[in-house]
Amino acid sequence: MNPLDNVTMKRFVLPAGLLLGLLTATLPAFAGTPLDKTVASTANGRVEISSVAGSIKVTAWNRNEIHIGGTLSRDAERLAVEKTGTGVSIQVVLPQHTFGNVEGSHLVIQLPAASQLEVHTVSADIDAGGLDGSSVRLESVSGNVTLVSRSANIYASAISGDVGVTGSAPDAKIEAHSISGKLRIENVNGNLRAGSTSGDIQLTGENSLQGAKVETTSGDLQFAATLSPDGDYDFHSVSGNVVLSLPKVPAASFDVSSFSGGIDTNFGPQPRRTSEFGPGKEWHFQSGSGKAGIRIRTLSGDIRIHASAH
Amino acid sequence: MTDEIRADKTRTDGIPDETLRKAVESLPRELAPQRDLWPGIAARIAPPRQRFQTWSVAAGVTCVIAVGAIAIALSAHRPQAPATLASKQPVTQPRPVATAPSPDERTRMIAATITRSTHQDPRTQAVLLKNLDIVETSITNIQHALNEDPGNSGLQPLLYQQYRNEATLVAAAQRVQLQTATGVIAP
Repeated sequence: MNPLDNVTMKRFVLPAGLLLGLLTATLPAFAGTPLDKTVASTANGRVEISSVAGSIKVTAWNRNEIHIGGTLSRDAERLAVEKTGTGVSIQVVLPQHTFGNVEGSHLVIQLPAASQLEVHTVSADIDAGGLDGSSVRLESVSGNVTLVSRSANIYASAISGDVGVTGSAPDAKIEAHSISGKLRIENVNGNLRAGSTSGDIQLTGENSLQGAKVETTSGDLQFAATLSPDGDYDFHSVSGNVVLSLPKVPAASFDVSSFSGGIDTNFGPQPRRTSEFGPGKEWHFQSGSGKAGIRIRTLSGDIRIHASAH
Repeated sequence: MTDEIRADKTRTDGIPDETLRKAVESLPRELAPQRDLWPGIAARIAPPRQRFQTWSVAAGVTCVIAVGAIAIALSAHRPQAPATLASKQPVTQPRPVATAPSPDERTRMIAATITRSTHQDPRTQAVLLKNLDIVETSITNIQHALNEDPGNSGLQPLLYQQYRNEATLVAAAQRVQLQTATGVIAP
């Protein structure tokens, strides 16, 4: 073989072959049947969506119809779109006895903003936005769940996926849960119930929460939101730390204690020991009218309560 | 009077005060306890355990209900004997009596249910079993915390939440099993 041919082979043919091979290997990841289907709906009908793997993106529009776009996985048997007694059901149907590791379908769905949405997945991520209907329920096992809405009843949960909820109707009822995923709740208004086992929980926003009951075992809990003047707030943790960052000292009564963790505040009296011999600390303080109630309990987690202005 | 004077110099048992003083001075200034005394002190100064006992009963009832639900779920997925065979079973055969399993047995039953239900989806199985481990560790930690701080009203709801999490994991596993069998996820 001519030495020049050998050099050409090494410089051009081999890299080109490798590139071709790489492209061929990645092609199936982008493959799938394009979807483009529109069905009639009502303004506030119920829409149920389910898929195992991939992603589901839901956005709202002002038409009384549902459009389904995106791609259907090659592993899927079909997309079942059916009218139900109360609305429309959209299901990615896999062949029976399908084993795990299926290629994901990526659904992009537009529906009336006031729809009542319910989505279930196993590993598919769920991303829903723009809804202002009476209820939204999003559940996944390992997928991430993200909701931006003005809905009145919100339920978002995952087992290992992260859960994010932004916005709600005034006086909404909001529930968010995860076992090992993180919870991020932002600018919700109404009553919140949130819990995690090991995932961190973050609550932020300018909107006023009338009440919150937030529990975690070992995740850290951060609260940086405006308190309602007569709101009721409960924060519980075993070993997770609890951090409250308040814009100013609220007119509230604080009932705070930790069995063996520390308490750090930058207003009110100094925390005191719960007993002469024990490691526990407690902090009781009422400011202003004290109509809002804040209770914090930890076992070994530290508690930090700071107000920016005081 | 004589006796009182003698008491200043020596004790009635005959040991001179000076000897006693030296013996006392030779003792160590501090003596660390041989074991951690705090749990005992905490137990004595803690409020009465009535709440804890109430909780224990409630937790026991919750466990029995959870185990019952799992047992029903398990039996629902067992192959049924043909009707002809079932009809030949003697009617006088005594029925087995269910007993509440220990926490370890309960965990093993839940893990077995998850493993069996998701054996065709190893990735989801791994997620569920890992989270079961997190939940069980959490339950152990909360129970330990309740022993340490029985008056902590926030711990009981946390424990209930972990039992609900166990049920959530079993429900998710069975949803995966149903999805594998039928091709769709049942809400």
